[in-house]
Amino acid sequence: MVARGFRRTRHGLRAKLDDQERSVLAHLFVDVYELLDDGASADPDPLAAMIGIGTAVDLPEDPALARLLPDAHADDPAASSEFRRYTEQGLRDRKRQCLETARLTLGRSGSLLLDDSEGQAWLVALTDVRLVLAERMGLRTEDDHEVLLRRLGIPPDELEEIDDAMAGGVEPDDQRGAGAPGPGALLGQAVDEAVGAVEPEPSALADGPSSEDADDDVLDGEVLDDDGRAQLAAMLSLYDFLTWLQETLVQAVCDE
Amino acid sequence: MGVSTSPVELDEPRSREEAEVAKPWVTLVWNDPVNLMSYVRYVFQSYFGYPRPKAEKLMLDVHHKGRAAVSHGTREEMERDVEALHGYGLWATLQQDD
Repeated sequence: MVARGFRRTRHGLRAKLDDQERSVLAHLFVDVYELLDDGASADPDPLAAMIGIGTAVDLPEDPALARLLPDAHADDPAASSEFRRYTEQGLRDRKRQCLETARLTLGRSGSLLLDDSEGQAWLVALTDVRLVLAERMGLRTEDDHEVLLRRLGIPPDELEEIDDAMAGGVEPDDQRGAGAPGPGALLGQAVDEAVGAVEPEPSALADGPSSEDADDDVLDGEVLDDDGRAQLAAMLSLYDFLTWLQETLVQAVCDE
Repeated sequence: MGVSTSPVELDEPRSREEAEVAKPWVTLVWNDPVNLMSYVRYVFQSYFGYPRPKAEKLMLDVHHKGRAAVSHGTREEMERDVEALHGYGLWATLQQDD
């Protein structure tokens, strides 16, 4: 089945996703939900917990989480801490809520149909998932995506085919569907491995001093083993699929 | 300047410095390679209520210049904006206006 990106219809925001795509999305939504879950409901001060004042004062060590919950003051750590103390809990809660809303809609049978508020939740959820994946892959500047493709040895014409296949999914015309592989066809079994990599592991691109070395592995010429390459390629493919999907959703949301 | 009791003059600050002190903070949005240009424009329209041309211009400023000032106001107002923008997944900071 060819995935079809979001379009605005009479009944709402509609997309066609096959079972594998739904499964992958559900996995990702859950993974990022858990990343955002710091168990703060176990706060010893119930009043503080109720008001939303947390105990977090520092930028999260996990760089992916840090990107979701960044500092509010570029040059004032004390002010950033204060801001974080009052806002981080609420931000985590609202982001988790969007991820959960999006995940639950995936359970609907037939094509995926969202109302406007679910569409908004999906926009936030997709953004957060893409931010996490990008950080795990070391995508930090505009050029990194292309650099990564070259390092993985994905030739430019293959990249164009991937782009065309994905772009083809944006057209509303049913006739287009017959020959072109949808993004779903590109994901394959390796995606399950990529999903696992969203969680910070000591050996992955996560927190601590190893993260710098891991970034070197990704972008600065060090050799990746076969498993590493496969995982990275799957992650990049997944990331590109999500980017395409979000683009269609933004367009659909803006089509009044 | 002579004293005047007309309503228009009473509403205006007595000096430019006073006007600036009242709203000295700014929200900056920083460029990142993940966020779609269309999404950033959508956030500026949706959250701030900016008309599309203004949202487009600010988005392009973020994209080409690395960052852009997207709102101005009191510190409290900017804190609310930054928190909201983080909620959307944008990278925003607040600082005193130059």
